[in-house]
Amino acid sequence: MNQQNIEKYLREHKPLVKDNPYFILEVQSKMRKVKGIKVEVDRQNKKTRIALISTLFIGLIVGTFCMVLVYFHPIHLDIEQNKILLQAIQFLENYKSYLPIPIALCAIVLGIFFSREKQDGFFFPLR
Amino acid sequence: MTEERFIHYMKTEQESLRRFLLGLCQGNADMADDIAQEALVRAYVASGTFMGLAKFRTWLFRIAYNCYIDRLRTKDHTSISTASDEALSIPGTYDADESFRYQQLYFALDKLSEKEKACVVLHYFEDRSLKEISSILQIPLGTVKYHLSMGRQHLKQLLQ
Repeated sequence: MNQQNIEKYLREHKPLVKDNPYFILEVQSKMRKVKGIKVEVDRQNKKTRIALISTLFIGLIVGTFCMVLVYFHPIHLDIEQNKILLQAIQFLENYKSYLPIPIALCAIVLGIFFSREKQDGFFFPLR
Repeated sequence: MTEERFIHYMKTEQESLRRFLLGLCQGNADMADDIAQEALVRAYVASGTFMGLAKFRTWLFRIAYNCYIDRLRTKDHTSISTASDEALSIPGTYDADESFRYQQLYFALDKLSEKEKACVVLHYFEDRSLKEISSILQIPLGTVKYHLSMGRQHLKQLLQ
């Protein structure tokens, strides 16, 4: 059996589905049973979507407000006087070579988290 | 997606979905229908999240394939392969049930890996494009081509 023959054989042997008039009825009966679950799932999804959009808008508004505030009322910080800030800057300066490690860890954690979310999330089917 | 629209899509796609699962389950019609019903119910529950980013058919088949894989994981795989083994042991006569016409093919399909089987079934039984298969099985296009080629090669050996 060569390449074309095998392809022809497979196309000619498509499985035959027996007509089952009860199939749709059974599915519809099951759908009625899970209607409560669907309503709850839809409600949860709607809530999450609203929360996401609200967070985005609040973030934009707060960010804009902060930018405007900084632009119109600039504060000149005296770093020499502010010991905590000075220590923080010194700490970052001393350990700046290790800084990519926690950033990479955070990125990996976020990556794992979102890849897992994909399976049950908004745009992807439930497993 | 409204319920009426979902039911309309379901009626349109049910035969194709059942045939796909029948191929995966090596002719075990009861099991295929059972998985198809489970997939449709899952799709119905998640239909609110369907944003139309993919075709409904692709989305539904992806759910069905996941249901099939879940079934394989939870149930003993032998329950599927026994069906084809039993089918093969029954002497095939001209009057025998139509389904036994496929016993040799089902037996060969049973020997393929799950991914190879899914690629072969989708491409040759359902006439799905490679891109669509890649989307259903959630594997790269190159991997689909590889599985399809390996599946053909294995089937050639098994059916000779």
